[in-house]
Amino acid sequence: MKRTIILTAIIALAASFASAQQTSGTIEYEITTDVEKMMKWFMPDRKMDTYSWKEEWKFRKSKAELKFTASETLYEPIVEETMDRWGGATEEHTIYSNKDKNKVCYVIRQMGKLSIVDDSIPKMKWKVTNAMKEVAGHICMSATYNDTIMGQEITAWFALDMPIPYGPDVYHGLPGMILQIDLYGGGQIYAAKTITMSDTPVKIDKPKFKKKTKTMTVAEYQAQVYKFMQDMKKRPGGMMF
Amino acid sequence: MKRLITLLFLSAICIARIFAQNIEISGNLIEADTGEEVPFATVMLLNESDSTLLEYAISGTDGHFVFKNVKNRDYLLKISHITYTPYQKHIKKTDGKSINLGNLKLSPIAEVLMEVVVHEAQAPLLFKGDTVEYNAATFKVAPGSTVEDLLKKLPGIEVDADGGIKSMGKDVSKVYVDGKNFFGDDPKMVTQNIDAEAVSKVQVYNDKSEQEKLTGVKDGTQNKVMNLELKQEYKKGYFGKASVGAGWGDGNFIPWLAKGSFNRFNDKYQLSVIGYGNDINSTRTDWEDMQEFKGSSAFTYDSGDFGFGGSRWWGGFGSGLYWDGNGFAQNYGGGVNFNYDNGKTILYTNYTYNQINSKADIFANQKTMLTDTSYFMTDTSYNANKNFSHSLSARLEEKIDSLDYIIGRINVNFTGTRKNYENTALYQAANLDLINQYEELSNSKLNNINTDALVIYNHKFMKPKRSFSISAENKNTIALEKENEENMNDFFNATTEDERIKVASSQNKNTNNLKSSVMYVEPIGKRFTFSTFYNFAMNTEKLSHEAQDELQSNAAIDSLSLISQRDLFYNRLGVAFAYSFNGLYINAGAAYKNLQQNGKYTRANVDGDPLRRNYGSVIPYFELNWQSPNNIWMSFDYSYDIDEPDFAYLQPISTNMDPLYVVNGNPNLSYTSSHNTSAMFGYHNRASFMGAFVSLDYSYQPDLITYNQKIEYVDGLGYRNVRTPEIVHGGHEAGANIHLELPIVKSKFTTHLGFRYGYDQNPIFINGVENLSQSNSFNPNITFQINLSDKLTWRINGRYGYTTTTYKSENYFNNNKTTNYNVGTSIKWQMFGRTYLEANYKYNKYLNNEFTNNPDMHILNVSIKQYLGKGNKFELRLAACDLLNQSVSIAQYASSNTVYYRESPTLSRYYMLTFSYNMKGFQDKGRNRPEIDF
Repeated sequence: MKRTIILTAIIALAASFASAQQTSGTIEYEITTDVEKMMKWFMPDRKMDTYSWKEEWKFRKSKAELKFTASETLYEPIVEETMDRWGGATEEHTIYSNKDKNKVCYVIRQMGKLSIVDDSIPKMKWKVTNAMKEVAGHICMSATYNDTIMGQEITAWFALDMPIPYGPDVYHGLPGMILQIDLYGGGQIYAAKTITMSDTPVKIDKPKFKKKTKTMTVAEYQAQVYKFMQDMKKRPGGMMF
Repeated sequence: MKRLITLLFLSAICIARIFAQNIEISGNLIEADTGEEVPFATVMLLNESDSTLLEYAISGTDGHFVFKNVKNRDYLLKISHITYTPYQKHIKKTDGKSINLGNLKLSPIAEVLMEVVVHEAQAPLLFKGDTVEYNAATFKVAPGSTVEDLLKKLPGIEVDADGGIKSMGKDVSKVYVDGKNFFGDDPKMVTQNIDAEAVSKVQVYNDKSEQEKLTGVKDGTQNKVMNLELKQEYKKGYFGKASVGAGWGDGNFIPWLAKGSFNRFNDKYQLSVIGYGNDINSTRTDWEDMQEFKGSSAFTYDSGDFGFGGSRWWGGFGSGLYWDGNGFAQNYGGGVNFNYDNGKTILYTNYTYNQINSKADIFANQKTMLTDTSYFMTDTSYNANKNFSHSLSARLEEKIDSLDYIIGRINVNFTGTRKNYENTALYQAANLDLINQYEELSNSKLNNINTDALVIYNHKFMKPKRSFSISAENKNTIALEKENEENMNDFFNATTEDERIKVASSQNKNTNNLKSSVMYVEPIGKRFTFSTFYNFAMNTEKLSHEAQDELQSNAAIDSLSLISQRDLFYNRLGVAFAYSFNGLYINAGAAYKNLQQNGKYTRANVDGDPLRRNYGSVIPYFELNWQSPNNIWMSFDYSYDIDEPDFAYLQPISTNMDPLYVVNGNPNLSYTSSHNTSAMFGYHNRASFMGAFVSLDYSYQPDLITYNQKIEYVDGLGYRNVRTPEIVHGGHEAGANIHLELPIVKSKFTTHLGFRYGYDQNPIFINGVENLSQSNSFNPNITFQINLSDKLTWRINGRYGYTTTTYKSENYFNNNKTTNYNVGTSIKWQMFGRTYLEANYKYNKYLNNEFTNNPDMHILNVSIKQYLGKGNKFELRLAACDLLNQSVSIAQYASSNTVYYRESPTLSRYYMLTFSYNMKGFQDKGRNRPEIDF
């Protein structure tokens, strides 16, 4: 009985989402890194035994926020209020897009190097599959994207009741809001935790960087990421995340 | 309504569309049974060949959808909706200007399946045509359940009383396991015999009949087929390894080794057994073997010590036995480990046994400097020891609920030591005139029983970061020792008879340590926390020692008999404030520490002076860590602490019977104190692999204890050293460490540069004269790592160690210089497919300005290994160790007013053939890093 009530509630909620014309809001994502799966993905040759990993070391969690209006999005990490003495500073990882101007801007630090991308919105070729599941109270359909740069198949779960073509990080272009992204064979998962819709457009500030900074295109940035990964795999001692 | 649809179109409509002969595709969505319109469905046009998304729209409230101005080509139309089964339809290119698909009938998702989607968030429901895939992890079954029990829980699947299976009302004719037949065609064979735990996915699909598979012609028969996909760990939930080796060495030495381990595990439990033995001085268990043996518990360290500064309180006793590297050692051991973890209860248990039998001849030289002269000692000793240890440990961690957990741990350890010791020390004056010869023969038997029980409870409150922790621990050691010792002092200018002593002694010592800590943490705002803690410890040592003179018809020796009790109470109450945000962590606090010592003793039925001491001080603490996003981290810390003097320093109750070394107590000693500070800086460029690490530390000891040594020539005895502990002031210790990693050719040629510098300054007292010893040590080292190809790695290493010890007042205190340097090189070469050659060469040289022998040695090790069998399951290895037959164990150092050099013959040239088997297959590890040491 209780189940049926929840089910009905979700469907009712979904109907209201789909029919309402709210196109602005904020989504908080939780990013879970499964260190072991990640290692397996990057270094498939290296044999590792699951039982020798302590549970709390297997997973790393962080949070990020996506703000969106009808034409603009801003994705940024949420700086954690941690009490961990070895907790590092959060690396810059801001992604801004403007659909009307066909612009994206990334401010991303990777391997300690800060890169700024200023380009037009890249097209993403999604393949829609037949799997459905619920994420954060929304029924989602899955779609996959073949990331040739990293050589992985990315799985996205987009809400069937939120016809907004955005998503976390650089992912976008599906008929519904992307509420979950599975990367590196499940080694990293971005999952929506809270979704707040707003009647008035949320305020979005375009990321600022020094005028003189050299910017790169999305393709150049992807080439850099690829190079980092190749070097990393060759490194004695292996990966660091 | 159409306005809404248009609104919801993605504006990414190609410009190309304007020029092509574009068409319009439209249709209406209705529910199959009722004919009701289906609004808000996602309608997608996919590329027919690869399902790439091309266009999409949302159906209106009337169920109507339209794609205007789309390319005229073949499409796969796909419709998805939160409550309808995904719908697919192929659309062919048209000759007209529009395609009207008419009414498209959607079927609602069965409510049972919908529940899977909604409630079992872990379980994506994968639609394959009209069938589905279930994620088994989502459906909870009792431990020990079979697949049949699991199937009974799956929506849309029925299992009848006979074990027959139906999916959506249709019979399931076959059950495959990982796509393969499992014991023929009877589905029950599988469903009733396989553990539900082992299954990761259940897939139900329509299978073609045998006839259809052969002919390709549909015969109308529909078979439902089920496939069970097993979890990865069940596919191979065990592994084992074994090695045996034997060979020949110089003399009659026959090197051998044998070791084996077996491990069975799944996601909940792990059972491992290990056994090993060898006579090649390999007394340490390989870290990797240990990790495999203990599983995740290898990473578990519990400390019930809360508050800053870490714990210094009677750190646990390991089961590992220690061997000092001299002579020859045989090593045996084995154990069983069992771990269980269901996410709520985590249990680790293991039993291990270790034994080391060692034999060593040790030759030592020592020079002792006095204020007006110096003398030499030449020492020859033979040690034959047997050490063994039984150790049993269990650790239970229980997550009571999301806010509370409790950890309990018990270790029981029984260790035994059997020692035989023969020693001859020859004393010579500065002009090398013989003074006396001291001989000692002893054998002893020591048994220790250690028990340790710890409980930690932690409670988190609903308010984030607020927490309360409490711990209690009791450690107990019972040590029983029996010793027979005989010594003789032969004075060369004999005017008296040789002094001979033969004593049998027995000692019983019981040490009990009870301690407890509590801590409460309260958050202040989001970035600050306040914590307060209290630590308590009580250490009690009861000792009784008896000695009998075997030369005097076993009469009790009063001066060596003792009954004593020593109590130490430790109390610390402190507060700390911590700030933590975005890479910066600061923790500052202060505590009041109180130490109380009570001691009493009875010697020959006479009570000695009781001891009562009480010390207290405020101890501050500061710590800062900072980690920036651009690969730089740094830290700084400062602390001040006080410690009580050892009881052994305070009470003059030595049980030492060596007439040449006399140790007195000094009941007037007070506590020792030290200021400690350290700073660290690190940089690592993750892109270029350039790295730098610098650490500095300094400690100042306002009060420290040193022995005031009164060394005098006693006629008829020789040089006698009488030591009395004193508090002195002003000890300094400083150190610097630098490490640089410089890639010259990225991932091909890397240089590591290291430099360590150490300085210490300590006041010393010789014959009442205060002097100051200062010691400086420099240790630079350099390593080149060259990866010539994927198959050949070459490493060159050089290390230099230079230590000088100087004395402020130089009367008869020669400045001492010791130098050790070594250079080494090693290669690892994959010669052919599965054949590897490893070789390393090391040259060591020891220089010392006080002694004439400055030995050096060349060590060369070579081995060839060959992997054999499918998946490299076998390994054959031929090793030649110390081919040049020069290996000797050497140590030298200078401390206080003595300079010391020691050497001991140890395992040298031998050849060994080892055959190993590994169920998982061997893996060539460390392709990039051949080791200098075997």
